[in-house]
Order: sequence, then structure tokens, then C-alpha cells
Amino acid sequence: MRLDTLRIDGFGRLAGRTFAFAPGLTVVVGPNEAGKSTLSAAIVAALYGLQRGEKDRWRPWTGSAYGAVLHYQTADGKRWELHRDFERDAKGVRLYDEDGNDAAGRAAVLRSLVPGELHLRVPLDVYLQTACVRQRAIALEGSSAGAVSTALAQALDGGPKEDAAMGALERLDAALRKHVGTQRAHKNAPLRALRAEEERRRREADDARAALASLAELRERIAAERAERDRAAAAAAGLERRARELQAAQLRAQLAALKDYRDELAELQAARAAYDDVATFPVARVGELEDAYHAWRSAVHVAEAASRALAEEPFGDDDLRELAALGHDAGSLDDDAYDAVRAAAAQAETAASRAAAASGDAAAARRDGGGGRTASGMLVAVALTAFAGDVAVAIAHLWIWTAIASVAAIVFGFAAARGSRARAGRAAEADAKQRIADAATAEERLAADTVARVLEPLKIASIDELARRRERYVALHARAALRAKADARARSAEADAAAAAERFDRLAALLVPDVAGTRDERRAASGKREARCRERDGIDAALAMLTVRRGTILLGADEFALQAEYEALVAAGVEPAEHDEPATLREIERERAELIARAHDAERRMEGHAGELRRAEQNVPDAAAADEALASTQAQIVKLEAFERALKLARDTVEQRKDEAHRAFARRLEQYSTDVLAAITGGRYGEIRLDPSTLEIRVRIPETGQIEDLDRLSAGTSDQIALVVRFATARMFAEGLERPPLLLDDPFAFWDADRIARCLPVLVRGGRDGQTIVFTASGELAEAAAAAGASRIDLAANGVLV
Amino acid sequence: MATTIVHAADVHLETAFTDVRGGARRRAALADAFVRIVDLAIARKADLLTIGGDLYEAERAGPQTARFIFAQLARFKKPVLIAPGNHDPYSSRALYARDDLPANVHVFAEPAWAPYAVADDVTVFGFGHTPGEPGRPFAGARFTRGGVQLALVHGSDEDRCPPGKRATAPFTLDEIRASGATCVLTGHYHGGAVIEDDGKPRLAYPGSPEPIKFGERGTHGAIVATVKRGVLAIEAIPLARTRLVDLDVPLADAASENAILAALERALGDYGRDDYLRVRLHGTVAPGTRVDADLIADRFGDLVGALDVEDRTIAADYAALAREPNVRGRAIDDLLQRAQSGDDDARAALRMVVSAFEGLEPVP
Repeated sequence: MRLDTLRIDGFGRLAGRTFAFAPGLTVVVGPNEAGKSTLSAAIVAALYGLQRGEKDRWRPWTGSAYGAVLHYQTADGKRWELHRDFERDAKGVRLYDEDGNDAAGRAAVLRSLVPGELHLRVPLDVYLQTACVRQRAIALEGSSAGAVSTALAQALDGGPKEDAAMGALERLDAALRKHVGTQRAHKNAPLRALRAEEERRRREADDARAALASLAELRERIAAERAERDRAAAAAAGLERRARELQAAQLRAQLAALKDYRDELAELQAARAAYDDVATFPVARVGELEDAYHAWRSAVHVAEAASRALAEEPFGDDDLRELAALGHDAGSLDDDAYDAVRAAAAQAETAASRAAAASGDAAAARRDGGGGRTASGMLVAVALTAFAGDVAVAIAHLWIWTAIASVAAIVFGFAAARGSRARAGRAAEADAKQRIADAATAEERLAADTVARVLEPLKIASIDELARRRERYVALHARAALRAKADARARSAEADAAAAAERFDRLAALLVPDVAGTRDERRAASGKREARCRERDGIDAALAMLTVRRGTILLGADEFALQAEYEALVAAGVEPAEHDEPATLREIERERAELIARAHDAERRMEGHAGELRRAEQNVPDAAAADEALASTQAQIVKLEAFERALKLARDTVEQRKDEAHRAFARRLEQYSTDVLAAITGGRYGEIRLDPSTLEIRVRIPETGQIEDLDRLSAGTSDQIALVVRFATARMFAEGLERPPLLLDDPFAFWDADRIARCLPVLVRGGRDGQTIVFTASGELAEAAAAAGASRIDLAANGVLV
Repeated sequence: MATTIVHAADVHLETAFTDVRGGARRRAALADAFVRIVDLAIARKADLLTIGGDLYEAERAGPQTARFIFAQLARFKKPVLIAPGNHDPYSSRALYARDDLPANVHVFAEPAWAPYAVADDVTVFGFGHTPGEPGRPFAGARFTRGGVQLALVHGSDEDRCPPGKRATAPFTLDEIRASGATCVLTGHYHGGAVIEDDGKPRLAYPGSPEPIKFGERGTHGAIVATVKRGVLAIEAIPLARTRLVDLDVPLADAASENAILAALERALGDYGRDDYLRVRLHGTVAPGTRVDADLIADRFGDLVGALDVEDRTIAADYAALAREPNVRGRAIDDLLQRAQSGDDDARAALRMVVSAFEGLEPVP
């Protein structure tokens, strides 16, 4: 792209001015605040429009119209006229071709026209990064490296001037998103949807097969239940045959038992008829008769025994008189009085014995006390003798003998004293015993008086006489009492016998009125009749038992029914079992009932399953169709997965080649930069390395021979190299896209003359490759550039400068 | 007095067809073919109808299938012998175990030979599949009843197993000879064939009455076996009405969708509603020419039974594009090399790359 003229109606401090730019190098010179940056911004704004926040910043100071008209031509030789009304933002853009046709309609990118993007084929940030150098910002910014790299790669894409590889990648990506879906996509994820559908269809197919399997299972269950039913029914039928045989045997046995019953019944009934004579016999009163009989017989026996006892123990008148006499003496004492006399007599006898003994002891004691007095007197005499001798010896002054005599006197004196005391003790003892003897004597006398007071009135001489008479009295009295008792018993028994006989006679008249005779005879007659009654009752019991037996035989059935049943079984060909086995028959019947119940249960379950089967068969799924639907979905998945694989392969291949192109552009850029740098540095720096992804510049340092980062160099050298890369970048654009006009907004403001002098060849050389507009406050640079062939615009002058 | 036996196998009722669309119609065609088999048996006044297995697909057959089969077999009225196969093995859940199985049907329910006397001089020995693999049915088998001894079994002739076909109940002609069987009426291979031994039929596959899968070779129908005076004669009766066709349609530089449709119309002229086709488009079409398989299927789907289209056309001169000194050229060159080594993904990717560089969005 080459800018021809820019007419500014109003933009910042610039208003009503037109600027014409040379195809090569143009130097816009002016002092600070002259409007160099404003003009640079106006060019960018004309091409790309104002960005957010710039509208007020660049509003004209003078109130003139906020607009500009830019004439430019593109590399294909076409000329364009761009009108900007900045007040209307994106709507204020008009683009006319060289024939005056409005090109905005067909050139609009999306809904708005951006001539810079349309004709430079790069977005604003790429343009600013590559072709628009602001003050002290010559180096490329790493933050936009990606976009710049992409733009450069597009330029190097080799095809027509389009972003072929990127577009292809975008379309491949779009196809992937649209037809396959991405991992993170929620709405448009066809492959995931297909997989979900596959899962759903798989469940449907599984459900369909499961439904069919359940139908088969139901049929299987029905068959099993039917088999169970048939087995149970067959077993029940087998048991039924055996049961019928046993039943026939049982019926046969029942009928035989009934026959026996009937025979026995007839026999018993005949026997029973022989007991009509005792039909009215009150057998229940036979017991009373027996009681009366035994009472009578017992009373008679008692009376007879009493009579015999009276006869065996006679008690005559002499006995009566003796008893009466004794009753007046020894018999007059009651038992207590008699016992008291006997005790007093015994006491007197005992006291007499004790008095005699005590008197003897007292006499003995007195004798012992008399003998002691003699010995004591001897001792006293000896002691006195010894004392006299002592005196005599003392007088004689025979002192040893005196002492001996004294001792002897003392010893004998002491012995005499002891003997005196013992004699006194024995005397006291004799006195005490004498007193005892006296007391016993007194007691004897008192007891003897008591005995005497009893015996004397009775004129009985001694206590022994009293005892003999008393014993005789007691014996006689006992015999008299016994006789009286026997007599009373005899009389009572006779009375009882009479009463019992009367009662017996009364009952006998009731029971055996037709029998005369003794009581024993009548009793025997009653007993016989009672025995017949018992025999009759035995027959009746046997008849009752027969009745019970009949019930047991019939078991509630009718005899004729049994016969008919038996005959029916035999007629049906049932061979009665050899033996009647009721227990076996009951067990078989129980087993048969269980089997029939099992058969019924199986039948009921079978019917339940059959109903379930009928219901289930109303809605049988089409498993084949479900499988086909599943297979169809799986085929779609396979197809889509193949599409995805192919798409990713295509994308990876294109991207790989695109990245190679990036790396190629980097090498080309390095080559361009190296050529220029070597020229302007006199060969000092001949090798530049450019990272295609970060756009970082590195250069080989002659002194070290190493490739170093740019910040290792001086600021001037660094800017010089960066400027070289800028020009190389513009040249790269020119190869594939559209070379943008380079806008250098006083990048050398703080450079010294030497650095400016060294960069000037770069500018001049760059100007030869494409349009370059340098904004500077440096008059020297302007003059030098002009001297090198550059056009000059002096902003200080008011008007159009070419 | 001659004995006539109609033998069929591999009807595969309730098969799920996944290779091409139109599965429901093909299932209906199989059912119709089974009706024709019974019609054939009735028309030939056959004494016996034998089924050599795989009459139905066990896992998809339901009560409706049972009613249909039983109605057809009952219609024949004369004895029907069935030797279940690996797809319809005998079990308590098999249709053959149902209590409403027609009285004229006898099923060989055990994987062991059992005789069935057809006539004084004709005996059929049957061998049935159960859910497990039965092993070699003729190993140790000896048929000694005399007369014509026909073996009815679903199995694989090991010497003639088609590629990709899973063998079941395998046997060889030597084993058949050793067993004393006059001939084996069998099933399993869908392409029918009668193998003779010393000039006499020894092994007869009737084939499925309708083709089941693409690529099956041989006849599709039933076999009529006739025993007359102790001599067995076998006649193969084609019954199939459907065809499964793999059709290659070359497109010579078709430049438009219309040209593609015209080429297809010409190629499909010989086919009708009973034909199920897998069409493969190949050749070169002009760049940007749309080949929409769905559109083609819709356009011609009513003319044939079903139509699946595989697009293997080449949309550009890949070799020329590969020489371009740019990203597209180098990418196409890479993919072309992989495609030429048999990488299908690379072949598809080639089309995509060309489309994407042409400004078209690739479609599946």
C-alpha cells in the first residue's frame, strides 16, 4: 500500500491541511507539539478507525469537521479514496475505487468496513506492531508476537494473497466443531450425541432381547409347572390305585366286622332276654340290706361276748362285803391322801436314819477332841520345863545352853499352841453334827405324827397294813367296774342287734318279699338276684360296646353305602389288597392329598404365568429392528470417528506445515535483516536470529562470537537492529500480502547524531523498498534524509508541503 | 415308490441386517422365502421337509416368529424334521420347546445322532445343536440301518469354509464316508452347493433362501432330494428374490452433482426393489463438486431395495497439488504419501485439505 495524500478536515490539533506522501521515504519534520504524532495517528485512524477512548482524544481543537480523506493505492495498482467521518465511527466510512464506485458494500468485513484490514490484510494490532513505530519503541513487542507471526506466515504462504493455511485450519476446526463436536462443547456435540444415542439404542436392544428372553423364561416356567403338575397328578393317580385297593380291603374288612357284630349282637340279645326276672330288682338297695345284715350280725356277736365275759368273772357277796369294808378304811382315802401318808412314812424313816448317823458322827468327833488335849498338855509341860531350864542355865551363865534351851522352849511352845487350836476345831465340828442329828430327830418325830394322825382314825396299825388293805380294795373295785361295763355292753349290743334286725327285715321285705326264712337265707336270695342283675348289666355293657363297635366299623357311613361302595370298587376292577392296612391307607391318602394340592398349586402357578405371558406377548419388541438401529448408530459413530481422525490428521498435517512456514518466515526475516544489518554496520553484525513465536531478536556478538540477546548491546545498536527488523518485516509483508506504509514516529528523538547518521542508511534503503514516513523533530535528520532523496514535510509551515 | 425330501436351512428369520439399510424388508423377504420353501415341498408332494438349522435367530425370535414358523410347518401336514443349528440351538427356551409345536414336527434335540425312518429304505439321522459347541458330529458316527442313510446336521465342511465364516460342528468328506451316510443334508454356509463324491451327491448345502450377507457365493434356495430304487438324486432349487450387490460406479471427471447422479442412474438401471446395493463411487471429480451420499440414497432409494453409498472419489489432482511450494502443497504431499501406503484416514484427509483450502468446509 502506498499513501498518496491525506486531507485532514479536523483531527486533534490539525485542521484543514493536506499532506502528500512520497512513494519512498518521506520525512515529516517539526518541533515538539507541532502535530507529528497527530498526523501519524490520523493515518492509522483513517485506515483502521478510532479505537475505544480515542474519539475524544483526537477531536479537532478548532471545532472543524472531525474527518479526513485518504488517497492510496494498493500493490495491484488500484487507487482508492477513503472518506472518514470520525463522528460517525464505523458508519462514517466511505471507500471509492478509482472509478468512483462505492466499494464499501462488497469490501465490508462483517458489518463494518475497515480499509486497513481490507487492503493490508492484517489487523490493527499487527499493523501497529510491524509498521507503526512509536517514539522509543522500535523493537517488536512480544505480546503481539503470535498475531504478527501469523500475519507474516500468511504473507509467506506462497499461494495467492490470502490466508490459505489459516483459513483451511479454521474450516477444518469448524468442521470438527460442527460435525464432531469438541470435548467441551455442550450444545453442538454430534459425536457425543451419537454415543449417547448408541447407549440408548443399546439399552433398547438389550431390553428387547431381555423382553424376548423373559417370554421364553415364562414359557420355560410354564413348562416346568406343567411338568410338576403332571408329575404330581401321575403320582397321585398311582397312589389312588393303591388307595382304592386298600380302600376295598378296608371295606371288605368293615363288612366282615359288621357281620361279626351282627352275630354277636343276636347272641347277646338272646342272653339278655333271660334276665327279665330281675328287671325290677332294686339292686341299688342290696348294699343297704348287706349293711343291715352285717350290723345285726355284729351286734349279736358283741352281746354274746359280753355275756360270756360276765359268766367268766363271778363277783359274789363276800366280794361285795369286803369291798364295802375296805371302802370304809383303806378305800376311804383318795389317791392323793394315800400317797401323802406313804410319803410321810417314808420321810420319817429317812429322818430316823439321818439322826442316827449324825449322832454317831458327833460322838466320834468328841472323842477325837479329847485325845488332843493330852498331847498338848505334854508339850506345854515340856515348854515350861525348857523355859525353867533356860532360866537356870542363864543363871549359870551357860549361854549356849541357854540358847538351846530357849529354842527348845519356843519350839515346844509353838507346837503346844498349834495342838490347842486343832482341838478347838474338832470340838466345833462335833457340835455341828450333833445339831444335825437333833434336827433329823425332830423331822422324824414330825413325820411320825403325820402318819399317826391318818392311821389312828382308821384303826390301822401301820403303814404297811394300810398299803395291803389299800391294794385289796383297788383290786376288788376294778373287778366290780369291769363287770359293770360288760353288762352295759351286753345290753347295748342286744339293743343294736334288735334295731339292725328290724332294718334288715324291712329291706328284705322290699328286695325279696317272696322269700321266707332266716335272715341268712333271705340275704342269700338277695345276693343271687344281685348277681343276676350284674350279669344282666354285663350283657347290657356288651351290647353298648357293640353299638360303639358298630360306629367304629361304619365310621359314620351307612352300612348299605359301604356295601355298595365295595361292590362298585370290585365292579371297577379294583383288586382288594390282601390285608386291610388303615394306617397305610391313611398315609397314602395324605400323600395323595399333598400331591393333588401340589398339582393344583402348579396348575395355579402355570395359569398365572400363562396370563403373564399373554399380557407380555401383547407388546413384543422387534429385537432385530433394535439391533439394526444400534448397528446403524454404531456405523454412524464409526464413520464420524473416521471423519474425526481424518479431520485431525488433515489439521495436524496443515498445522505442521504451517508451523514450518512460520519457521521459514523467521529464517527469511533473519536473512533480510542480516543483509541490511551487515550493510549498515560495515559487516560488524552479520547474523541475526529471530524467534518465530516470540519475535525476540538475538544477534551474534563479534567480540564473543556468541549469539546474544539484543539487550546485551548498547541502546543505539539495539534500536538500529530493531529498525532493520522492522524494515525486513515490511518487506516480508510485501512478498505475500500488502506492504504497509512504515510510520516511524520520531524513533530517534533521543539519539545522538552518530546514531542517527548510522540509521539514516537504513531509512534510505527501506524507503527504496517501500513507502516510509518518518516523523522527526530533528532538522539534521530531515536535512540528511532530504539529501539522500527523501521528501520532506515541514509541519511548522501552515499549508501543504510536498 | 420314490421318496421325496425338500431340504432347506439358514432361513435366519429375525436376522438383524446391519450392512445396508432396508433390514425390515429383507426380514420380510426371508419370511416369504420360507413360505416358498413350504410351497415347494407341497408342490413337489414331498414326503418329508428337513430343516438343516438356523431357521431363526434365537435371541430375537418371539411369539410372532413361533406362530409364523409353526403355521408354515403345520401347513405342510407331512413330517418335518429339524436339526437345530448354532443360531437356533435346542434348549428349554427354544421355539422348538414350545408346547404348541405342530405335531408333524420332529426336532432332533440332542447333539447325538438319532434315526428317523422315512421309508423302508430311507432313514434320516438327525443331530441337533444345543447352546454349547457340539464338536465333530461325524467323529465315530456309524450308520448301519441300511438303505439310503441321510444325515441331517448343521455344520461346516472344513474343506469349503468361506473366508471369515466361523466353523461349527465341523466335518470332512472322509468322516462322512466313514460314517456310512449316503449323503449329508446340512446348513451353515449361506451359499448353496452340492458336493459330489465319486459321482454321487455326498454333501448338500441348500444355502440361505435369501442372501444374508454381501459376498456370499453359491445358490440361495432349497434342495429337493429324491430317493428312487435306492438311488439318491439331488436338485438345487433357487428361491431367492433379493440380491446383495457391491457396485463400483466410476466417475470420470464429473464436474457437477448432476453428472454424478447421471452416472449413478446409468449404473443402477439394471436393479430393482429386491436389490440391496452398496455403491462405491470412485474416480475423479472436479474440485468443489459435492458428493452427497445422503442425497444420492434419497434420490435412488425408491428404485432399489436399499442403497448405501461410499464416496471414494478424488476431488483433485493430488499429485499436482502436492508439487505446490506452499503449505497446501506440502500438506497434500504428506497425506498423499500416507494414502498411497494404504492409510484410509490419510485418503479422507486429502479430500478435506483440498476442500478446506478451496474454502469449503469438509463434511462427513
